Amino acid sequence: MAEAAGKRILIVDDANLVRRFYREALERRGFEVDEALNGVEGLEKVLGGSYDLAIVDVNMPQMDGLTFLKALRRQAPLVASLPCIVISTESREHDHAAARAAGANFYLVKPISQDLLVEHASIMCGLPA
Amino acid sequence: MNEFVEQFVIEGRELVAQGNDDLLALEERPGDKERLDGALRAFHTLKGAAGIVDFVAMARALHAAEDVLSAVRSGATPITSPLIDRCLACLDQVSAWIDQMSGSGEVPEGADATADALIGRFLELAGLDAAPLPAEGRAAAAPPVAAGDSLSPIARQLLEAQKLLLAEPSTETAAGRLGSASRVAANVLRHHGFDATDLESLLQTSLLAGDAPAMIEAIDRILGGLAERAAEPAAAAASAAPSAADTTLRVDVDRIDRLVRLTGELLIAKNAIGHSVQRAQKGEEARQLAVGLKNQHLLLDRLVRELQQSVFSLRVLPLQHAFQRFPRLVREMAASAGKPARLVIEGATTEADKTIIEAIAEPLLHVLRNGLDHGVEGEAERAAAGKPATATIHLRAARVGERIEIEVEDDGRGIDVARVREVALARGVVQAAALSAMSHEEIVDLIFAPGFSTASRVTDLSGRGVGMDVVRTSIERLGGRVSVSSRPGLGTIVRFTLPFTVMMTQVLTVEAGGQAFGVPLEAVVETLRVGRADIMPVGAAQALALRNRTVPVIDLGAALGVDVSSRGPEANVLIVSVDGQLGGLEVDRLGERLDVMLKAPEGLLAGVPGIDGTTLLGDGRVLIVLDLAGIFGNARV
Repeated sequence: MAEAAGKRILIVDDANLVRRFYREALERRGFEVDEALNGVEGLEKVLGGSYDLAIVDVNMPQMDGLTFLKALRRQAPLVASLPCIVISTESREHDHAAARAAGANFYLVKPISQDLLVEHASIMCGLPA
Repeated sequence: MNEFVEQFVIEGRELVAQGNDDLLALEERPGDKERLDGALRAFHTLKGAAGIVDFVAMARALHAAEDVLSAVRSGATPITSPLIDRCLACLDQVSAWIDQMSGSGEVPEGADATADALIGRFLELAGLDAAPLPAEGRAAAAPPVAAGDSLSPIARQLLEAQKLLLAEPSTETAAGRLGSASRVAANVLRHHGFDATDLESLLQTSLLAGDAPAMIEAIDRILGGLAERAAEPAAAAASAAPSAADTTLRVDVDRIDRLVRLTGELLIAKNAIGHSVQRAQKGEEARQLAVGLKNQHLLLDRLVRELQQSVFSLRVLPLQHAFQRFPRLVREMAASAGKPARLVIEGATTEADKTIIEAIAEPLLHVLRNGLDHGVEGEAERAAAGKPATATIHLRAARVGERIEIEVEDDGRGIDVARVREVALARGVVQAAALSAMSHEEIVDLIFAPGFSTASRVTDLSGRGVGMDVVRTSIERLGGRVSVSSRPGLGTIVRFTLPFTVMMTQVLTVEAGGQAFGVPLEAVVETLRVGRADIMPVGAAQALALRNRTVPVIDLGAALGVDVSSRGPEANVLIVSVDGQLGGLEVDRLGERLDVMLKAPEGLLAGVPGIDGTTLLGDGRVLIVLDLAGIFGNARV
């Protein structure tokens, strides 16, 4: 568990339940977790701190996930290069494509198991297998 | 052709030349770090350029070369001849690809297989076989690791997703996307226990260059996509599209700025004249108008002259452009002749007109070949003469006043005068009587005579059929001269003397008395067809009434002493302006407009009034360009 210590993940999702579900799984693996309720809050967080991964929902009030991604990718390099997984209920190819065009590194479709989430996060943060 | 491809072709050729240059220098001095860095940079930049035009196969081939050179830099691989050979072969292929692209504007077909073959040769060379790295311990020439099968399905998916992300069209978010993709790719490697430092630095470099295709390719290699593929060199390279001539010119910014400034001044001068026109239309008095017009004319005159000079200076390039291929070619020729030789170039920064630079490469190459083929001795002969085994050929260039001198000097056996004499006689190049009266220098000079060739066997160097006479003709067409001097046992020097500026004159060709003449086009006002009766004798001369003016007419055929009695009732008259006066020139036929390089008349023609200069036509005929002032000087009416 100790290996994940120091790896920080930001969850950007407006659904409390979803955030808690992700947080619990990730913390169990040793990640440090932070949360934002929408894209605007997400941007504030990434500009103010350093993260290793962001897990981003698409449909959110104030600023949706794809707008958040586009805004993020325009920031200074250290911030802009933050790896991001988009997790959405939409599974059509054009949803994948839209996320990719916005700058998502990976796209997962809900519902997603905690194990799968942790595995993706571990790989994307470069944790030993 | 799209502008990226155009730019790619220009820069690509320069980079290939730079790479060639650095590699050859490196082979001679393997410790030269600067050259190594230069070569690496050339390969790297070429790779980036290939990415921009979506030429993935070329990027892959270059990447393999870059890997090998990186291994050299890290000290893991020594510089060897096979290594340099492969890098040069890679550049050759790149050069062929660039030529194809410059012809078609498209990425050539079949390039993938060719690239694979090149990559295969690099792999076999440096032992960069794509085995996965052990978890601990770094490979010397690692980037990028081919992790292949050891990747988990999710890791593979993640890498594939990064490739897709990298392939997204470029927008203002590109830097962030590329950066995040490289972080993810490196982390995937780390997760599987590989050292990702090299990959990261590679991705970082590509990232800075915005080189997404290179990054995609790096990820491809991790996925093990390349290791399995290996093909024989495809015939694709051989079926190269006809290589387009070099029609693009790179120009110093200062020179462009000067043109821009001149254009601005010309606009102002034009406006001033427009103003004068208005004043004239309002009926302003001529004398007053003339003052302004005179000043404007002076200004225009100065500007046009400056413009002409500026445009000429645009065409001036360093001779390096012509020389850059030679070290490589000499290396190859030396290898095929089995005579070790090195080329030492001096004065490559000497500037010359682009026309000259383009035209001297072939003649120079022929002279270099000749030197190597006939001048440089075999190993045993050199040893016996106490010469170093490796022959040295100097190629020197220098600006001397308004001329450029280029010489090729070898340290071979020199020209065998007795043998030249023999061959010249045997081939009927010169009569025995004439030969016996010739000086040593004149005999040596016979090597430039048509039909002369001392090659006692056909070699693949000098070939057969083209001799030094062709070299002389090409140089003379440029308004230059060729001479040769030789010291028996010590070597031969072939010297080209060429004009620095090539003045192109536009002429209108005319025919009179069966001979073609050129008339400077700037002097031609109009061409007329008039009844012969309209041309009246005025004293000893003739004249034509043209819009209330009497214009002297000179019959060019008659002036040449040709029988003109059988002419038809109509005459072709060229009205020309000579020092502000009009004159008529009767000719048999009007020809075409030509851009010619004018040569001052030489020999018997020198000093003949009425001749401005001569020029060689494409078919080898001499065109005499008329000096109108000289012709009409005696004919003012």
